[in-house]
Amino acid sequence: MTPAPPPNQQNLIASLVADLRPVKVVSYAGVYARCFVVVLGVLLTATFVMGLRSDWSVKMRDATYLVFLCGAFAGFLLSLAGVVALALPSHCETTKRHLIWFGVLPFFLGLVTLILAEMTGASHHVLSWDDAKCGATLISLAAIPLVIFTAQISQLAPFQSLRAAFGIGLSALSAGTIFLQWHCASDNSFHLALWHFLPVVPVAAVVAAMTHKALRRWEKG
Amino acid sequence: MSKKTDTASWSDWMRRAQGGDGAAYRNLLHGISPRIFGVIRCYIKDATMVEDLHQEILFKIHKARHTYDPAKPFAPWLGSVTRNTIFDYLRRKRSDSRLETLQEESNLPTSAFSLDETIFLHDAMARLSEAHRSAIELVQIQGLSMAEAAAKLGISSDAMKTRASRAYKALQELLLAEDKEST
Repeated sequence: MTPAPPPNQQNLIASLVADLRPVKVVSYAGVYARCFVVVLGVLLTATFVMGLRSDWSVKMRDATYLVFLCGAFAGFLLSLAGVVALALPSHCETTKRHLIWFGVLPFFLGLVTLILAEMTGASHHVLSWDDAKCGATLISLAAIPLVIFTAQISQLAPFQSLRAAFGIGLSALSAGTIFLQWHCASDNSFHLALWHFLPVVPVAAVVAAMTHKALRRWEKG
Repeated sequence: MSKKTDTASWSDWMRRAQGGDGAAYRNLLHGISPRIFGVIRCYIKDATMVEDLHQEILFKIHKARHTYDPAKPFAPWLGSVTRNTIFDYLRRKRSDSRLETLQEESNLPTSAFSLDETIFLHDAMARLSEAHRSAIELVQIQGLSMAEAAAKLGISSDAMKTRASRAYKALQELLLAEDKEST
């Protein structure tokens, strides 16, 4: 026989029962699919508006290019999976939350690119307006998924809000990196590292610091 | 009623509560309340804090009830909400060192706290030998260092480390055995 809770707990239970309304159950796959569709829409729209690089078909046969493109794509998919897992309390949360760290993959690819750049003697002139445009594109493309992911996740129950916000940042910025990889025509390794890959982690950290409190809205709402 | 039957009822009650069934929701909250209380007591001794946290967990269960997937067992979901709320609470109370002790220094893997039987941690503690239970209580619950705990028990620091390590292992085995029984 289960013992009855103390009187003050009974009052709380009574008020929670009085506040009970039917709820629509959310599923892991549903949330993931919605976030994925958002990014797909952003990528397709950006591609339609800004276009692909002219040698895109040639580049798709270049193994190194594909490794970097797939790295950014894996970073996006896996960090998003980690974020959704963090937002849905369950048995799998503990293991799946580690997927967020795959979002750091583009950053490591950036470091690899830097090493390759030194080895190949690439041009160090990567601070022109054209170069900075890639950085601006990366952040502006990430902004839409960032806002939508934050809105979606804040309606679930992310307990570790700072980690979840960092994962959201990694995921959204990785999506921006994917677009830059098939849009930007530059093959300068320094440019790729500095403007496509390396900003992913520091910008995600700034985003996490700025937005993590928004992920706590579910506790009050 | 056995624990297995308990958790099966919880899943059913929560599923019905998600549809707006107040009676099922009341049964659920009354059923899980003592278990949550027991788990909190494993981490925190202060009675006022325990009560605050107990209320906070019930409130969060209410707010997050739409995230429970009725196709899955209820206990892991409840364990996750309980554990995360306790850790949040400890962080807020500037007990970071206590949290780090729990998550990093303990030989008990973090995964043990997220098993189906998380909620039965306090039951497992009760089944430990007196020596093992006191070792865990002093180091993990009261937050004493190994040297302080050793002095309190009147044994050497090395013997304390060995005893604590064996106690974590025994507790882990009890939790894993409980997990096998319920699945």
